[in-house]
Amino acid sequence: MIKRRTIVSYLISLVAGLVISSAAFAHGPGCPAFAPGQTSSNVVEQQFPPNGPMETAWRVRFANATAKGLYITGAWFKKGPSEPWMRVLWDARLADIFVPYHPGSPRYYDLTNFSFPLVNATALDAGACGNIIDGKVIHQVSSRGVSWKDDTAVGIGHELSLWATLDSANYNYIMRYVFQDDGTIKLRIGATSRNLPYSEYTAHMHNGLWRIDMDLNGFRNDSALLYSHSEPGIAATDSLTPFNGGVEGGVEIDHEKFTEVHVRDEVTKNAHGRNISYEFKPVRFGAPRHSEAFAQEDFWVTRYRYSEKTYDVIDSYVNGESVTNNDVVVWHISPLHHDPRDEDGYFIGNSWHGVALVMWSGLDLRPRNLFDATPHFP
Amino acid sequence: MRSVVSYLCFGVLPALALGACVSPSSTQDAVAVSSYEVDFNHPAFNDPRPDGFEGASETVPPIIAQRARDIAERSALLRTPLDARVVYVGTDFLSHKMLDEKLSRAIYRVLFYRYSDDAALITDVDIESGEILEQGAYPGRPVRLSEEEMEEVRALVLENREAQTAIGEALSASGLSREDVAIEGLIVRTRDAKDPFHGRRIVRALIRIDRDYLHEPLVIVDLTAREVSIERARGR
Repeated sequence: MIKRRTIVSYLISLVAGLVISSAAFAHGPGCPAFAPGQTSSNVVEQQFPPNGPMETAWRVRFANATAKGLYITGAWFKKGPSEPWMRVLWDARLADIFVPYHPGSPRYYDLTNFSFPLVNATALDAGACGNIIDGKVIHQVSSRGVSWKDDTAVGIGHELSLWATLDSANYNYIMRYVFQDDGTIKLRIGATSRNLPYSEYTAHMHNGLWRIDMDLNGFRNDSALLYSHSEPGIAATDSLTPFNGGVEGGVEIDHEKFTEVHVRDEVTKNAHGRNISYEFKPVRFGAPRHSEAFAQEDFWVTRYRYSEKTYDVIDSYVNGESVTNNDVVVWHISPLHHDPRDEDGYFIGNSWHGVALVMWSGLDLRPRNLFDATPHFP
Repeated sequence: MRSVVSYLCFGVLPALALGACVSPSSTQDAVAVSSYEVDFNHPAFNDPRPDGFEGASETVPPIIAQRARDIAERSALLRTPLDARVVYVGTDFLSHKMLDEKLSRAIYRVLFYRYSDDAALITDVDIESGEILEQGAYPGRPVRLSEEEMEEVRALVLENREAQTAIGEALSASGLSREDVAIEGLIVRTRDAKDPFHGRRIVRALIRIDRDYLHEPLVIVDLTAREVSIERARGR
């Protein structure tokens, strides 16, 4: 029964894949008007708008490895056709994925505790106009819909995305990195596939543990700042202060304060004399306060040290070093709360059949004062 | 720097099999591949990886991993008595910023696991100079299973009578064969010193038949004791 079902499923996938692949490569009427640009096997470049004179562009270097999945090893942005490439990221990745189950055990570290590989990508993953790089990584360029409106005028935005799927035994994690035409970067983790055998109905969390080494216009002169909103009465104020007094540390997100971390270059200014910076905006649905020390804060900021890569021991990295006018690394926990439901699957005899639909979390890195004016506005 | 390859075809083997290498400019709907000149000499474009890596992979090639392991094993920390149970887990690549963005040196992190105190033995090495940059023993820190340990998990599970029975029943019910059986392992860690798993190398083994996993039995492999324990029929 299972075998027959599987074979039928594969045949359907194969036929669909052939149809979609043919459409993609022939660029027939069914193919969206987007095509990827690629310059090497570990670097992609994309100008925006994709089908017009360049206004902005991204150059992104990426890598993959067993036990690490897909990650970014460099990103440069061009904010105008005559502007130079400016480094934005030295490195951005999931340092780990922490999965504690509600009873207290098990507690999995899905990257550092395993040798999980990336899944081979398929034509169905890539879609009509996607590209498969290295057999594992999906490279797509697509519309992101309306980026601005002004009565009847409209701007349509575009984005470049790179993603791959980690095969974590029964589970799959989609690691997705999106680079928008307006300079925004979206980091996402998606959790999907089979619930844990023997614990199919046990609630748990998948926490993306991000390590983001932002080098804004180079690694020197970056400062970490804490953005906070206050509304004690009818009037409200916003503040931007040195993160943790200017030294390494952690902070909990307070949704009433719209807590964010900003990374600002203390030297580079835009045409208005304002320092360029990026806002780190969390995308999540709750605060994971697991018993582990690293989970007691939502953001951590440390001074860059090459050997400091492990989220699980991040509290040991915090030793009073300056995160002002320095080379800084931002760490962030983004949780997915998975309370199993019937949509996840069902039993056939002693086997679990079905998959949990994908859930997403992560964070957005949005530029502040990087441009001199609204990007892509005539 | 490794050679830069320009891809105009989409995909790899599946695409080639379809004979689908067609220029994106073959339709008016298609968007032009970025057309401006790429400055491959731009310092920031440099790839910090040394020679030996392929494509986008940073999985360390075996010959480099062996060199890094050799350097690490010269240290006092890893010159262990023959009866000490220390396993080589693997070697990872770490890129490192130097004084300028165009400069990076190749640093490798060599991982061992020591059973006596549940410790990750971590050594960062520079294989060009043969230098050990940092080294330490970290009890309780996550460290993945070695291939050798995973093989041991598989062997222990397949030797277990209850696991054999469950697999046999599943194969009979499905009509599948032993080639469709896979054993996967998840390391179980705990920081709770009172937990019986604390300080031990514990693996929860998953039995997969084709694409589905068996609900039961729950198979726990204690690699420290080289024992298997089985739990059955807890509520679904």
